[in-house]
Amino acid sequence: MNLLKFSRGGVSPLHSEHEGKTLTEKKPVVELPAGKTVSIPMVQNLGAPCRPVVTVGQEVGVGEVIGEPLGFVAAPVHASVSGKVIAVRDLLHVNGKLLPHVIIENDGEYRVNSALKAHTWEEVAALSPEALGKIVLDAGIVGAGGATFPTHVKLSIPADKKVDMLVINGAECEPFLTADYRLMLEQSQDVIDGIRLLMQILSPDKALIGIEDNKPKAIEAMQQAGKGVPGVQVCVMRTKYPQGSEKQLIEACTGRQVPSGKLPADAGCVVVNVGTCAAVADAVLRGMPMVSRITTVTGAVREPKNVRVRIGTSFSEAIDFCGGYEGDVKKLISGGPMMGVTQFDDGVHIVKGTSGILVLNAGYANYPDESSCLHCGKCVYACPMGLMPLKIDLWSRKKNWEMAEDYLAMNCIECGSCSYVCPSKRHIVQGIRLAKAEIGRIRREKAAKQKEGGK
Amino acid sequence: MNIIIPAAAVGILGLLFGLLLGYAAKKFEVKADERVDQVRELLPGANCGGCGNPSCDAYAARLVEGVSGINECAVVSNENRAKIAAILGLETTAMERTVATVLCQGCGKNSPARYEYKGVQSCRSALLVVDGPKGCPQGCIGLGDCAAVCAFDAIKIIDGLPVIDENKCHACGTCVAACPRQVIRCLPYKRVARPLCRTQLPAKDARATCKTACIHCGMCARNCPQKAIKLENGQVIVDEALCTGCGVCVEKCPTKAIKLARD
Repeated sequence: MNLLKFSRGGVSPLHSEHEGKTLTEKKPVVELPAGKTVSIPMVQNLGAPCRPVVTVGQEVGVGEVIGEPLGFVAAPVHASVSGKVIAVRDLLHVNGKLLPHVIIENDGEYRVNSALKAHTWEEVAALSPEALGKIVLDAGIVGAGGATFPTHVKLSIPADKKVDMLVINGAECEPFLTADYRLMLEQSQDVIDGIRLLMQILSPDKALIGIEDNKPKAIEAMQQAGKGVPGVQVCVMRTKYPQGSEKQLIEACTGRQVPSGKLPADAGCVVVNVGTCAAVADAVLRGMPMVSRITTVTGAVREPKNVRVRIGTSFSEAIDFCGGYEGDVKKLISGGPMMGVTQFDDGVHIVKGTSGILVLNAGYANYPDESSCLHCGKCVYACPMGLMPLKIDLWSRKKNWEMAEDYLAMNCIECGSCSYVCPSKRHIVQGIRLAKAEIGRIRREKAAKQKEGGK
Repeated sequence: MNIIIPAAAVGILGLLFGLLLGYAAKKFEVKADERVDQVRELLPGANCGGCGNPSCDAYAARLVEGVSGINECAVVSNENRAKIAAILGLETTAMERTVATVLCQGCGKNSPARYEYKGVQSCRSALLVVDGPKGCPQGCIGLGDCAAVCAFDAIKIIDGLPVIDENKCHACGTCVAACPRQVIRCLPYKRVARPLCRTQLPAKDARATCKTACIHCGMCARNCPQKAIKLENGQVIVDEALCTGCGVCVEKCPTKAIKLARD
């Protein structure tokens, strides 16, 4: 069979070990009971943060708004348990900063907020795309894949652009993670419902579900569930990292390329994760905002599991639920091993984008010292964006941001393929991320200056 | 005898070209403002970049053009600045000597790292990895972005904290601009009190992250005989004009977060 894939670069981490997914692949999703308190961060998405709108002592129900977005690129935050708000204070966030959290004492009743409204399919049919988009916004739905980009922003397409393809991301190319896989197996109907709702909002010609060929059962389940829904089609892709990255997925499924520096909408596509689709179905058909998600707790824990956790549960609670740490633990990662963020404290709390909690022992996590670049070019072959990572990294370390920009640093998707293949163990992605941050800062400063000059 | 003809030919050609060049030099002479050279001579010539120009030459040219101000160079001595002002017909007043000061005492002993950082050895890079290894969000990261840009070799990193050699420092300000956390500031050289902590954390959290953190108790402000210290928005601010360097605040501070210059 001729499998779909993106054209350039890519790596196959842990290919001989089935991408590390055997640990949790066959484990059904289990509910993780929320602890006595949950601490819900007010920063849960890319873009603007949220402002807490509850006061200490206030009783809240599941799904009640506790944080209002401060800006368009942001989504509200909801209470994930019912109970009393006991504090609003700064706690350690997964991004390492001290940020405001709303701490709720769990009364264990999970009383659902009465203001939430479920819709039947008949009611949905009468809704306009804008009204549906508003439901998605109010439900606080952000990309469940890990980047946490607010979904309602993706769905508001500028008038001059035409979207004819909805691409659904079921690739789950990060090693170890099986959250999306279990979701596709166990809740395939929800995913399809979510796709139907998104199709009503965007009215594309087709919805393509991209799934890698190391998940044959998920492919089968989605094909079964998608039968009879016009326009929905499952694309089987070759297992290759980073297949689940937006631009690579579009290329694999549709053959189109997103122009440099542009958005998927410029290629007529919108990419949505399967987890997000299920969340959309939850929000519209059952009225439940994004208050929980499926997370894979795996690696060096006694019983690796796929769990459904409520937002605001701490990492340590999730790890204790999975039997605690096992052996010589070296690294704790929020997300997958390739793009996840390493944590130094397991007291941080699960956010909407926590697709996995990965504990690595000495066998997987080692910290070799970096040595000089050999100019071997392995990173150039591995880069899925066709960049020269070694050059960008070298300019970045010389703090020459203009040259880094000339080598198209801003096109980097930070997938980590270059660092993964580097024989000198150089921190290439980190160098490029610094260049991207500095180029972004310089561009913003220039824009601000121009604005001032224009006045 | 054969040597004479070629020697004469070369000699005559040389003479001709010499005359031609001499004529061209006079005819096509570019009139340069000689003041640029004079000003350039008086500038320190360290090319530190503190004024925002790439070199002292460039700054001298901009000075003469009238684009740059005379006080933009912090390195030049007051004497030379007065001479430059005389050349350009500008007015200047003597500037007080300042020196770059690190407003953080969170060395490895006082403020232990939250995690072992093994990435790119630069403060700005470390900040991209869960907000840097130091617990204090206003503290020094200690990977030496300031030392890397110092043109006078005045900064050394010792135990995760930059130590500034005040004899070498000319307060050019490049390290101030290079620090991603604004930990370094140019403060007066004279013996005044310097608040050495900028933390915004509440007292309990601040003490948990750093032994020498300011806990905003206000002891320094209350006890200052000159009323030179204020506590504004959780920051200790010293009015250097009023401070006499008596050292009462230093004695009263429970966490040793305020010190006199060169103590």
